[in-house]
Amino acid sequence: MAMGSSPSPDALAGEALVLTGGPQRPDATGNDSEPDSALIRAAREGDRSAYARLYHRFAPMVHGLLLTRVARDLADDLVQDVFLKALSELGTLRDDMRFGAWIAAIARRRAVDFYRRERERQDDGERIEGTAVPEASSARAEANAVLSVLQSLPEAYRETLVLRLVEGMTGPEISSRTGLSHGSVRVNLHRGMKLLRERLRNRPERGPTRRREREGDEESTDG
Amino acid sequence: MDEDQNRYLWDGSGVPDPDIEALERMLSEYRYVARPLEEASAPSGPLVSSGKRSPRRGVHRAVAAGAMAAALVVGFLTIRSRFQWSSGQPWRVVVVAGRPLVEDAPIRGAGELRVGQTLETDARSQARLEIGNIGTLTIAPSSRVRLLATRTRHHRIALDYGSIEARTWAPPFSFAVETSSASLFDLGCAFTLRMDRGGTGLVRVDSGWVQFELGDQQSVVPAGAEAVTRPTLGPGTAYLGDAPTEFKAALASFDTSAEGSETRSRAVAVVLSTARPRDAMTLLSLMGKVDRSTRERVLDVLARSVPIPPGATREQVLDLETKALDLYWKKLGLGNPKSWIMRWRDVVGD
Repeated sequence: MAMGSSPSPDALAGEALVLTGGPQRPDATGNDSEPDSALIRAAREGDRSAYARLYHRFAPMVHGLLLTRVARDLADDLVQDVFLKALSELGTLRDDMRFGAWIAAIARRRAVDFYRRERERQDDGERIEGTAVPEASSARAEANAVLSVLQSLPEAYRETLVLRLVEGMTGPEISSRTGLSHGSVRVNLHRGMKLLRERLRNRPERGPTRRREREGDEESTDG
Repeated sequence: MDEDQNRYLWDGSGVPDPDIEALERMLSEYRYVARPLEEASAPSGPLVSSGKRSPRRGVHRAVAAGAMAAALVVGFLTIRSRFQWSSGQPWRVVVVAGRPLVEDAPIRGAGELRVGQTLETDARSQARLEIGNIGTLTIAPSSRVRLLATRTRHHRIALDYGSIEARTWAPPFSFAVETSSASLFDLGCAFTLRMDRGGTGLVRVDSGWVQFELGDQQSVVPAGAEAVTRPTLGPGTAYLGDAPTEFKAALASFDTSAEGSETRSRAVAVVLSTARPRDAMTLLSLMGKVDRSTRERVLDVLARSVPIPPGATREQVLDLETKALDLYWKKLGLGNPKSWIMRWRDVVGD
């Protein structure tokens, strides 16, 4: 797809496509506030730029959901898999207003499939790739440890919290992208955050909450 | 947690909760980084029912289709296995001159570069890296690179400063270079990238294409062309390496001046007055960077050397409709970014 007036490699190729996933120029591809449903209709009719915009809108959400289940270096690749699968199955989406929930379900299934296949490969004697990343610093190790604690939370909490804390989405954005109600997102955020604080406090390593307490700032975790 | 902190958790407003802020900072490194969606095998037509197929198939047709499918599968598996690379498997480093350093330790003859490690050359040393199994990277003197990630069809390095020359033979986006001012995606080609320590750089493409981008700033650079990247501004407009000096200077002025400024208007005027017919690629790249009235002037000049292609109208091009622009790019005859498989000679070298 063309971004600005750059060439769209897919159109030049005719073999394979590259859908540009970055932010779209407002004057290049039309109004980016176009409703999801309009983009879905256009994508279903073969409009690749419409699907590229859907990809751009929903990729952070899909990435966040995957990150609650797989190692970080796999999440990027699986995001691609999820969107390619969703494109091939777009004709089966019955309610265009539920695209977010639909693609979220595909993402969850893809993560489950990934581990099932890896188990099968392991049973066949192959090694699992892509899970070991060398640690560069203690800060990185701390971040990994916190992410592990996040990944240990109940699914509803960890998904919502990863979208908020990792992907930087707001509550309303999480609601809009996942199809969850504002109330559910709000509850998941607060209960999840409370549980996360407790688990961070109780682990051997010291997380941000512990550091603040160490500095004398005693704050309740009741949210 | 008080009401302000509740609001902060909900939508980032109110008084920031220091714990949440600390978690956000710590976890931000895991955040999704936008990258293009690579689609190699998805359906290309409308995703709706295409109607019933005829139930009758000739035996010969079935046999031919079966043979073709088998050949495709064998070919696919052969090419696919060609690019297999275990995650984190070190890259081979060969000393070309002097004493390059890996993690501050000099290497002699040959060595390895692992994910997270740095390879540095001084003014007298030079090294060659094997990009997994898809190509080679020559590290010029006074350069520093870091290996960020490596696995099948996903090889990433950072160029902190200096110069590299890459030759790859792999599907687009298999190899990428991160710099402080832009990301460079290899679309299957040979290119040279030079970066100074301040974040200004230049890519020169010898074969194939590269995509140079920072957020919504994107330059697709074909063979024979160059593009500059600048701190905070990202990649500039691509131009042919042999373009007139005045043309290049005006383009630089355009890329670095504010939208709507007098400087930018003057720069466009010079670009249009000094453009050669073969600078059509630059003019087409400019179309998406200017306002509608300026775009009309750019198109007037562009169309004198490369007329609007059949299947596209002037209005569609001015509206930056994707299909019309794609037809225009195709008409420029700059080659096919995805025909990397045919460019093996460029990778092998002279």
